[in-house]
Amino acid sequence: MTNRSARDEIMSSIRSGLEKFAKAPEPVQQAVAERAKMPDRESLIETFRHFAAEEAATSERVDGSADVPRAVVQYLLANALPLEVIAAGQIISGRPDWNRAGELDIVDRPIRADGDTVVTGCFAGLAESGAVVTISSPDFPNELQFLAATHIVVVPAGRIFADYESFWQIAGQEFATGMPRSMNWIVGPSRTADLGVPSRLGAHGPSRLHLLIVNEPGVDERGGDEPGVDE
Amino acid sequence: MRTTSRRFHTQVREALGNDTLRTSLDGVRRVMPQIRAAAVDQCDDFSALCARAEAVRRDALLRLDQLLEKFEQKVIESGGHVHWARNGQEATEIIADLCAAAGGRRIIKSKSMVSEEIELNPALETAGYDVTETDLGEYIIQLRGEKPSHILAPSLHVTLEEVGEAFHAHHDIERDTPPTEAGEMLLEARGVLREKFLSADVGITGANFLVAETGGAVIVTNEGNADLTMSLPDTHIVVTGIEKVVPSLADTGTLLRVLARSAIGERLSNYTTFVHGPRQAGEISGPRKFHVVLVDNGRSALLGSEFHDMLRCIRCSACLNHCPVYTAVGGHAYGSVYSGPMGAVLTPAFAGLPGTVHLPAASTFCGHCEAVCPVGIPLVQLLRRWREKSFSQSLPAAGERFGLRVWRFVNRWPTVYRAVTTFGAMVIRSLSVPGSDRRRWIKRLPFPGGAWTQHRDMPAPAANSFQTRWRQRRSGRES
Repeated sequence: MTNRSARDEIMSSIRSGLEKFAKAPEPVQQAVAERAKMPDRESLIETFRHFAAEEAATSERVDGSADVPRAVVQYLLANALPLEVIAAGQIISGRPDWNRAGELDIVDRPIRADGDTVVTGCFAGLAESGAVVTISSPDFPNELQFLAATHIVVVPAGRIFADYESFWQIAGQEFATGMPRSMNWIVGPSRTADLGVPSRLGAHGPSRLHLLIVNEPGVDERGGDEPGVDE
Repeated sequence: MRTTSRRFHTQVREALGNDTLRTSLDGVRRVMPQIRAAAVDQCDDFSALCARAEAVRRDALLRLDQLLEKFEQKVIESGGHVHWARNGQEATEIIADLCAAAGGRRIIKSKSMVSEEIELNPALETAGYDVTETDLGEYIIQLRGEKPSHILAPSLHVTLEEVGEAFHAHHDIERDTPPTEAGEMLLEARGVLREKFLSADVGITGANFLVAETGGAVIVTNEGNADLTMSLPDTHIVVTGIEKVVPSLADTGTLLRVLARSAIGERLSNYTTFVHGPRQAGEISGPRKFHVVLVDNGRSALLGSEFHDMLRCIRCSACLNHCPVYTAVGGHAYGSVYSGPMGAVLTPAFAGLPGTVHLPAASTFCGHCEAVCPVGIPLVQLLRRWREKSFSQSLPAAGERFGLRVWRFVNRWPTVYRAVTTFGAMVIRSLSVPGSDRRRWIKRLPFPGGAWTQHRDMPAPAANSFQTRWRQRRSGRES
């Protein structure tokens, strides 16, 4: 459907505009790799939690992935929320023991109405800004996290990166064969300042974002998800 | 691009007479510079980050042709389509055709300044589509039939009470009086817009950046509305300017760092999405069709021109928030979707100087805009260039041109300059009265200064000019 003449005309206009400059320079050096020096993993995790909290996300540490369902239950009870959750496949598939105690009512359906709780994994955490990074995949229809009223994210402590540079380095390797359709950096719940100050939470998406930081090396090494396996 | 910038002076008078608008703008003036400054203070290398960000944008523009070709190739590889539009009309026609091919009438949109620039909504509505803006601010002004008054906070000029009235008039909810509580309005809008999200056929977003190496579009919001807009409907259309492309994903990290801090005083906006093409094999959701519409609309003509630097702009709005003119009159006075200092440079470029000649003149040249620009755009210099052009084309009114000629004459003769400024300062000072702050203020100036004192007091000039004091100081030291 591309109109070739429009494309050619725009390109030729760009090239004639650029003629007066010397040959295009080499790409600029990539940004500040050394900016967020955080010596040890513990301080990295604490920085991540601190910055997430500044954006109204809550978080807690969990000893191992086996303890995640229990932590979800406690969070829901503490916030007077129903014990019904939609759990992303990346979290529960292949784990028959995940909700062993049977405390949670795990439902599998698309979200239409408002008020659901969604539990998802994540690809990474970014200490520099307190954001979690999620990626769409066959076992994670990522609109769930934008339609839910409460979003609980399981963050493997070993996948928290100090800065964007170190994140992109690993992401570049793991997505060498192609980027996921949607990669989402999420810091704090959905928010709007269009109804005056202070800004209000829960504009369209979740009004609660809770991070469960799993202390063991990782839920299934990489947050229970297999990034890039959706070819 | 259509504007009402020709009516600038009338629009300014209207704005200055609007008390609720002035209250909102006072809020911007008080709060926005403060939260930006706090975010910058917390960041120990902000000026280094800005230098990097400027270098990324500078480099990208110098390789724009290569980057766009690479971007196009990568989008196609990911299963998407790229469309090129020379102007706004072509862009709206392309998008209308894509919507027709999608086969539905319901369109949802997230905020996009390019879509405002090309007047996409009126074009789609004329073609029979039901278009809903989903950014809450944009939704509010859509209900009120208005244009944005700020590039980031489009409904800045609307009071909470007016929002309630707009909801009352347009939402199909039985009640006697409009909602008054912000929380109530939020829930109401959330419910109404959720229906729109879930039933839409096409989602249209802008893009903050495009990534050449991967064919990705980066879209930033705080509400998360762009994410719903791009993941629920079967067709996703990205409409954006050709200048938005940067080389790599890593480059976006640098730009995101300065964008959120400059715009809203945050480390990062709540939702930053990197989207690459349509639904992939095995996925059960996401759009099946992915289109990017690249809009020129005057941009390529700026490349290599004296306004080339303006193409680095990342639309953070820091220059608006720090501008004494913008924060006095607001965005609508400019008569263009782009307002404030960046708008005063861009609007003449996109809409032609004759109808927009007042905008570059609406600056005190205080330089705040330049000082806070995260990508180092020399806004004052660019505004001055427009003024030079307008003068050389005899566009300002005869009186204004005569005044400038007199000023030029005075400036070229130091003796005359000293005599005129000393006499002028003496006359003005004689009109001043002591203020509560122990300084002297002028409450009312005769013509042509009356326009100034109509809306604010003017500080009295010092008893002695800088040059006089300098001479006194030197002679004191020498004696």
